[in-house]
Amino acid sequence: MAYNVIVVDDSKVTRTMVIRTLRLANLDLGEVNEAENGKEALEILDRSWIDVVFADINMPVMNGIEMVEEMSRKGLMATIPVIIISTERSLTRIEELKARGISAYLYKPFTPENIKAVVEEVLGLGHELGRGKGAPGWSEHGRWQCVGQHERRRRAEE
Amino acid sequence: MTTDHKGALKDAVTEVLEEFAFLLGDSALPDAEVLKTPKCLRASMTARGPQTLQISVAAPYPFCAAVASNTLGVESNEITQKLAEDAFQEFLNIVTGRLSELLYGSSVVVELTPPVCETIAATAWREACMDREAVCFNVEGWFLVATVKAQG
Repeated sequence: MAYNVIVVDDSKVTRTMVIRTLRLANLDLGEVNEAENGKEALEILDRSWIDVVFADINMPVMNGIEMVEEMSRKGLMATIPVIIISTERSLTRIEELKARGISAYLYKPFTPENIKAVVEEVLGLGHELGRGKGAPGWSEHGRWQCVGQHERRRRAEE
Repeated sequence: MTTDHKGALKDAVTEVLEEFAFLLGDSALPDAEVLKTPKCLRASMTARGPQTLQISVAAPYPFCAAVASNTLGVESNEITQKLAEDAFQEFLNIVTGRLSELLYGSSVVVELTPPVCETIAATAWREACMDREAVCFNVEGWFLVATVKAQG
């Protein structure tokens, strides 16, 4: 099954790098969309079927946190996994985003292996990785943290 | 800039050069040749946390093009000025994230502004290189200058 994705970042270099890394990780990509900020991403989400959102936090016009809040208001967070890819390393910030329903948080810079592992766990493509410390349902793996598909399904049913 | 700020900036730049740009950098001092570099870019941004930090990096254009080329995996002749500026801004963005963590730990929220990039005049490049507060690197033959100014 091919996955439709959207990469949200104001940096063209970063968007290209994320897409290149997804391809290097041999993920089966369908439609690949790009947006420069949260507002553009929401417009694409309104008109297209998207399986995964990859988003930065620090962007002009509408940042990643505002985008997640808007997605939450529209009820999209329960069905579309959002993977935040950011330079910000504040655990307080990460906890805040987890509470808003993101599926994973990946620190920049990252490797194809990192992004592949995150996507596989979030989409339930591989085995569910062991649970680490932190919020219920979340696993932590050095450069990234995420919630598995089972936990996402449970949240969607709530 | 305190010794802590300078040390943390040096560590952050070295780490990001290696992990993001796939380049190796060593501490260096500017010489006459470095000061004559014809075209240089400067990226800057602000981080607001326990202190307000103004962080900037300046380097010759070919260095910025090399960062873009390495991160995108394309030949340097395919790199436009816009892509070189974008890659240099992203380099600074990651340096600032890492610097904030090194200075304040991971329990504090630091608000980052989007980075901006500009081409700088020869005088501005010379001033940046001669700034005693700057941390300077030789990155595989290119000269890179980084500064952090703290308030509060």
